[in-house]
Parts: sequence; C-alpha cells; structure tokens
Amino acid sequence: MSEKIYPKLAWSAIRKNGQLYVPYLLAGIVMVSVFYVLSFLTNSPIVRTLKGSSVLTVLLQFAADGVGLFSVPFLFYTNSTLLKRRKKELGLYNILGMNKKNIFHILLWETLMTFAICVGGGLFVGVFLSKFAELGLLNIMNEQINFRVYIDWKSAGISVIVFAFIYVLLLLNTVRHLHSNNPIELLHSESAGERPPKGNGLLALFSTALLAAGYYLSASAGDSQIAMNRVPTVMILVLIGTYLLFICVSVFICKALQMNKRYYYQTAHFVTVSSMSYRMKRNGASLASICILVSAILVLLSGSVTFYVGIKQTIEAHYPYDMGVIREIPNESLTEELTTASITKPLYENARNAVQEQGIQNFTEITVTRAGMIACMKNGALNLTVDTREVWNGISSFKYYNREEMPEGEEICFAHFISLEDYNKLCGTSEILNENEIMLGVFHTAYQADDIILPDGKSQPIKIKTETFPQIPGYSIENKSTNEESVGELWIIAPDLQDFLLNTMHIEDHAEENYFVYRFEYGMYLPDDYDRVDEICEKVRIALGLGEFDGGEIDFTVYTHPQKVDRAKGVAGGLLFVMIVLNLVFAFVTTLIMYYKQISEGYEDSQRFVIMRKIGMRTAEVKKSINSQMITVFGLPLLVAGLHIILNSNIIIRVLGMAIYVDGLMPYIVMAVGFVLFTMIYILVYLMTSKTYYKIVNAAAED
Amino acid sequence: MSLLEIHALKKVYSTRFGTNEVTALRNINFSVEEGEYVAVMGESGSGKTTLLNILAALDKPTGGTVLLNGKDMTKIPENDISSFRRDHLGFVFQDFNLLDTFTLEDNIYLPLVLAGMPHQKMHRRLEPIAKLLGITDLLKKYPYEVSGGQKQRAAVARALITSPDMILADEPTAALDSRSSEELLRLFSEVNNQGQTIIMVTHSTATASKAKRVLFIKDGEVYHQIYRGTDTNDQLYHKITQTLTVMMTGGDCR
Repeated sequence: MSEKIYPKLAWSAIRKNGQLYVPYLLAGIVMVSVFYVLSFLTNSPIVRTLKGSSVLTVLLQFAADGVGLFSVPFLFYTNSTLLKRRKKELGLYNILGMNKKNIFHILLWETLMTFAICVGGGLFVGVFLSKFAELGLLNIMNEQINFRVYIDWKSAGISVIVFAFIYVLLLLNTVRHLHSNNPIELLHSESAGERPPKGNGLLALFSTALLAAGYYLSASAGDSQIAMNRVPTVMILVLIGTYLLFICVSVFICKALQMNKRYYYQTAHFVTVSSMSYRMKRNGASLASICILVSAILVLLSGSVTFYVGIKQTIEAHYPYDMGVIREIPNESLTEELTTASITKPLYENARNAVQEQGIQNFTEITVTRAGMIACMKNGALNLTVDTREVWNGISSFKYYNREEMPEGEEICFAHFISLEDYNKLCGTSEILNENEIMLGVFHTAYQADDIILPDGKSQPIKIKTETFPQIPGYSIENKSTNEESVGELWIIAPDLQDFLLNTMHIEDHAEENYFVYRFEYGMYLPDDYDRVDEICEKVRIALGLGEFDGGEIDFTVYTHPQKVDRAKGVAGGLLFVMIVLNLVFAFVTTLIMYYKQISEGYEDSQRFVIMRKIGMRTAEVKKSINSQMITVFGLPLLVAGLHIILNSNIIIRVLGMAIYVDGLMPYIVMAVGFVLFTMIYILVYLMTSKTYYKIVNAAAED
Repeated sequence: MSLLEIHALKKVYSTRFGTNEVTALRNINFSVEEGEYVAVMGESGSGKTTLLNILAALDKPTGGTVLLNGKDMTKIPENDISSFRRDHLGFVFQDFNLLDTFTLEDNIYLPLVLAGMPHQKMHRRLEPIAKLLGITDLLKKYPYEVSGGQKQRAAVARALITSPDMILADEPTAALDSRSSEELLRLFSEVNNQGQTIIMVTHSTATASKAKRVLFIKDGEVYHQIYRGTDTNDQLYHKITQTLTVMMTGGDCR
C-alpha cells in the first residue's frame, strides 16, 4: 500500500466521525490550554512579584499537576466512546484486506493529527487565555496591569511533553483493543448482544455503609483539627461510596421497582425503568463521575468564596487597629519588675514620638497588656500539674499532641489573662469586680469547677463572677470562631492582673511548662492619615530599632492594617482564582461527559424507539418517555451531589474555620446559592446536550 | 362487509424536489374476509412492502381507500394513528424487533402497557397465548438469551395479545432456519384456525404455500390470486411456482 494513503484515510476518518471527533478534539484543546495557562502563571514573573506569591505559585503548580493528572482518565474516557464507534470501521478495513500493521499506520496518523490539533490549538488558545488569566488574577488582587502578550516557552515545552505522553498512552490503548479482537468481532462489536446487569445486593449494602460512615465521620467532627485529620478518610469513603452507589444501588433500586408490578407496568414508568436498569451498570461510572465533579465544584466554590469573604473579617479580628505594635515576652526572660514600666514605657513612648514627629496630631492610642498560656484542663478545671511541653510541640505546629488520644476528661486549652481596666477599655464597659473576684469567659469548652489545681496538686479556690461575658472587639476570632488549633479558650479577667498571676496562679512556678507569655499591644487609629499609615509605620519601626519590614518577627510585630489586608487579599484572591479555573475545567469536563453520554445513548436508543413506534407508541409518548428517563438519569448526580454537600457541610465549615473567621450562616448561603446557580447551568447544559440526543433518535426514526 | 377492503390504492413516491416520480402502487384492489390467511407475494420492488406499510398505517397512500371494518384508515388523524395501530393491528417483523432491555414477557406486554392496561389483566391474557406458542418457560428470559425461532414466537405473542383485527407479518420467516420456519408457520395456521386474520408478505414459496390464499403483486397491481380450496400444501406450492414462472416470463394470467 502506498504510504501516502494513510494520512488521507486518517484525515477522512476524523472528518467522517465529526460528531464524535469534534468534542474529543475540543476536550484535548481545553485540557492543553488550561494546563498551559496554569504552568504559565506558575512561572509568570508578574505573579512572582505579587504579595503572597510563594503560596500562590505552590497552589498554581498544584492545580497544573492536578489538571495534567486528570487529563489521563478524562481523555481515556472520551477516547473510549470514540473507539467504540470506530471499531466497526476498523473491522471493515481489516476484512477488506488491510492487515493490522496497515491499520496501525492509520491509527498512528490519526493520533498524530489529533495530537497536532489538540496541542497546537491548545497552545494557541492558551497563549491568549494566559494573558486573560493574568489580567484576571491581577484584577482580583487589585494590581497594576499591562497588556503585553507573550509565549512562555518553558510552559509550552512542558505542555507538549506531558500531552505527547498522554497521546502515546491513548494510541497504545487503541492498539491493544485492536489486537484483542478479530475482524468479525470488531465489525459487530457495536451491535453485540448486551447483557442486562445483575443487581448485587451485598455491594449495594456495602456502598451505602461506606457513605453512611463518611457522613458520620464528617458530621461528628467536633473541632477543626479533628475535621482536618478526617478529610482524606471522608473523601475516600464518599468517593468509593458514590461510585458503588451509582453502579450497584441504582440497579438494585431499579430491580425493586420492576418487582413492583403495579408501578412498573404503567405507561410512564415501563420504558424508563427498564432502560435505566439496563444501562445503569455501564453508565453508573460516568454518572458517578458527574456526581463527584459536581460535588467538587460546589465544595471548591463555596469554600473559596467563603474564604474570600471571610478573610477580611479575619484580618479585622486579628489586627483591629490602623497601625499597631505587638511585643510578646515569655515570662522567663522577665524580671520581677517586669510590668509596664520597663517594657511598655519605652515601647509606647518611642512609637508615639515617632508618630508625632510626622506631624500627626489627631490619633487615638490604645494600650493593652495581656498574658496567655497553654494549659491542660482536667475534669473541667484548669490543671497545672501537667507539663504541656510534653503534649504540645509548639504553637503553629501541627505535630502536637493528638487530642483525639487524650485521656478521658482531659483537654488542652488556651488561657488568656487581661486586667479589668483593659477589658473595660476594650469593651467600653464598666464592669466592677471585688477583690479576689474574677470574670471568666469560656469558649468551646466548659469550666465546671471553682478552683485551679496548682503544679503541686493543691487546690487554689477562685471566685467567679458569673455574668454574661461580652465580646471583646478586635478579639472576636478567639471568641466566636475556633482558633487555628481549634482548642477551647478561657478568658480570665482579674482586677489586678499582676497580683492574680503571681499570687493566685503562681505563674513563676510553671511559666515554662505552660509556654506562658506576656503580650503588650499598642494600637493606633489615625483617622486623618490612614493613607500615610505605611509610611508612618516605617518610622515607628526605625524608632523602635527594628530593621526593614520583612513580615515581622515572631515576638515583635509592627503592622499596619492595609499591609495585612493586602497580604491576605493576595492569598485569598489567588486562591479564589485557582478555584475558579479549576471549577471551569470541572464544569467543562462535566459537560463533555454529558455530551458523550447523550451521543452514545442516542445511537443505542434510536433503534429501540423505532421499534416502539412501529408497535404503536405515539411520538409524544416517545418524547415523554425519553424526557422522563433523561431527567431521572441526569437529575440523580445533581441530587446526590447536593446530598453530599449538605451532609458534609459540617466538616467543610470546620476546616474553613481553621483558616478564617466563619460567620454562622455564610457558608450555607454560599453553598445554597452555588447549588442553585450550578443547577441552572447544569440544566442548560443538559438541554443543549439532549438536543443532540433527540437529533440522533429522530434521524433514525425517519429513515 | 369484508374486514378489509382496498379500492384503487395508489402510492407515488417523489424525490425531494419533485422532479422524479416512482409509482410503487398503481391500482390495488382486493378485500380480506374475517378469518382469512392471506400471503402476498411479489419480487423486490413489486410494491408489496409499500402495501404492507400502508396497511400498517405506517405510510399514507396517494390515492384510493383502505377500509378496516368499514372505517377508512387513510382518514385517521395523525394523532390517533398510533393508538389505532395498537388497538386494531398486530405486527410480526422479519427481524423480530424485540427490545433488548425487556424480558420476553415485558416485550409482549409492551402494547398493552402503552394502552394503559393493569398488570393483572395483561397477565390473564398472556397465559393462554404463551401456552399456545410454547414460550411459557421462556418468559423471564431476555431476547439475547433465546434462539431466533423463540424470539419470533415471542413477537407473535406480542402481536396476538392485543386481540387485533388482523396480524400483519412482514417476511416473518426470512431470518429463521427451516425448522423454526416450519414451526412458526404451523403456529400461524393454528392461530388462524382459531379465527385470527393474518396477512403475510413473503417471497418464499414454501412460506406462502401454508396460507389459504395467495395474492401476487407485480408492478404495483394485483397480478393474480390463488385460493387454496381443498389443495394440500404441496399442491398449492406447485400452483404458486407455476404462477411465479409465468409472472417472470412476462405472461398475463388475467
């Protein structure tokens, strides 16, 4: 055979199977372009200059890897639908005298052409999309923009290599199919007798159990840390459960419906139920995939939007002042005469002087002296006999004591101490305490005793004034939401802080054991000079003898509100952007799967509906039956996805709560709005793709 | 009044732009009495499939009338055609046309389910028919699990279960081996003996020789017909062969 005929045959095959090839090519183009855009952004010098770029590049790289990985099963799925239709043609070539080597040449050319179109088209689209993406990213993050379009050759090279690898895999897969079949089988593979599925009761039960376990773990996660630890388990349980559910349970339910003769033998249900039961096993996997994708979209969407909105409140909560200085000093490096005099006086005075030197007269200053420690609670009482260094490896570290293994009745908590004077100042209240009396605010735990157990085991009684404990403005993160480590918190308000710490708590005996620190905060509001706050802050830093701004030291932070907001917005904006891109990819994939399903089922069903028409089914009845069938089939994934979201909302919100301030109803509202919006898009896609189905079925009927 | 009366039936197909016309049926006249078993024979292109499609209300004639029980089928509005077909006609196809998503039982029920009949009643109807056709044990099986002959028997059951005015069979034995064909035709005769009207299109002489009357169609007209009378199958077979020979050599019987 002439070598020239192969590309010709390959090209004509692509054109003749346009209805299937176009979406297949489209799938390739989109995956390549998204992959390119993500790796482009990862390497983009502009992105690198953004605030929070270190987090962002990691996220983007992660997303790019994810898209690359996801391309493999996705392109395999689209290719398999194509392959099923192509087998007949290949079988015919074989019978007409082409040997497998000849056919391999055709397939090789087809793959080469597909690869060229997908990678070429994908990169072309990607170059433009990448600019838009960059602009979008900069816009979300409120950054300067420019309009220069350029190609990042490194990303392009990576895209070509990754997708070359994927297409080689696809070619090998096609060849494998070809080799395992003889020509007659190939010719008839499309019309081969199909076996109805057998419902497997045990597997169905198993899948329900998996889902129930996943839901239980998710709903019962009492705090963010436990929630975080459980996320992988819940994901795996729900994932496997969903696949099994669609593959087995649905067949099982259909069988049960068929058993119910009065239900089954009704005009409206007869055809629908039998086709669904017949098809469910084979299509269960694709429906489950749709369901998982829809769930992922909803989770990512609600998560990122909640995060984006919540981060601002989080910043307000952590850094309430226009400008502030925070100094943290562990007890052991303090002398007896630690208090305000030696530490705070120079601190506050230097800062104030620096501000005044800038000619600023109108400012409000707030000074707060606090102390805090990590402590153990036993049977509802603060218990200082436990050395927390043994169970807690440091703040901001996740490698600390696993609280799920903590002995019964014991828990870790953060204890905060603040003087009544400062408390009244912060809250604008005028609480009064008698000598030796304290106020106690308890959050996410319960204090059930009227004493403290000192390191030597002795009981130290305390007098608690039980009254409602007002929120401390600016500290709402510690009050309302759970803190980063999601442990309980105690707020102790004493008339004389120093006296209480020394004489009631005997703090010097266990300061190291409890990571005890003093925290001096100096905050300023600059109502007239807010836009100069960064500049003023620099002067304060210099006045305090600190170097250039580099994010702040652990125990000595000088911050301005705009800096903190920008930084957080950078991270949140980048996150939101990555989520949006991922969601678009997922939505596209969902659309393609639906489209492929409609096409392949359209071809399958067309003959069936021709027969039913001959027997005496009205066109309207056919249409009704098709509708009811498709709505059920495509409604199921959406329904189950909704169920996933509702039943897993606890774990989602708990995990979000670790990073940000989560307002009670906000995530639910975002989820609900997301679900409604997505349902609308889903219905639109469904209507569009079902048109294709009708076209195929009607074309067959009119022959 | 005859069960089926066909007068001056004409069907002309035109190409999409109306430039080319093909006359499939020129002028068909015949009638079928209740309880008859008629075979329609003719070569490919003689118009016999067109005739059957019109009888099945799958196609509309260009001219002429088709009266079923005195009612003109060609005048039935489009919306009622499907239910008319369901209520008055039974079909047996060459390629069975069973749905692979249904068991044989459900396949047989299909027209009744479409008509909205309750399950109990359907089941009562099925029992004697399944027994007659010898498929009682096969009812729970799927089409791909049974042989061609068994599929065709299920298809016959599906045609019978609505108690139609007549059964229209389009080459019912063409996809069957000779033993299954014999078996099927024996069942047709038995069903016919119980009073069921059957009209069957075929080009197999052996198949046609089992009918009580054979119509020959050539170039869109009824060319000749043979009544069985007291003839045996073999005698009828010979008469058919002779007629076909004359038809092919271009003679005129009338």
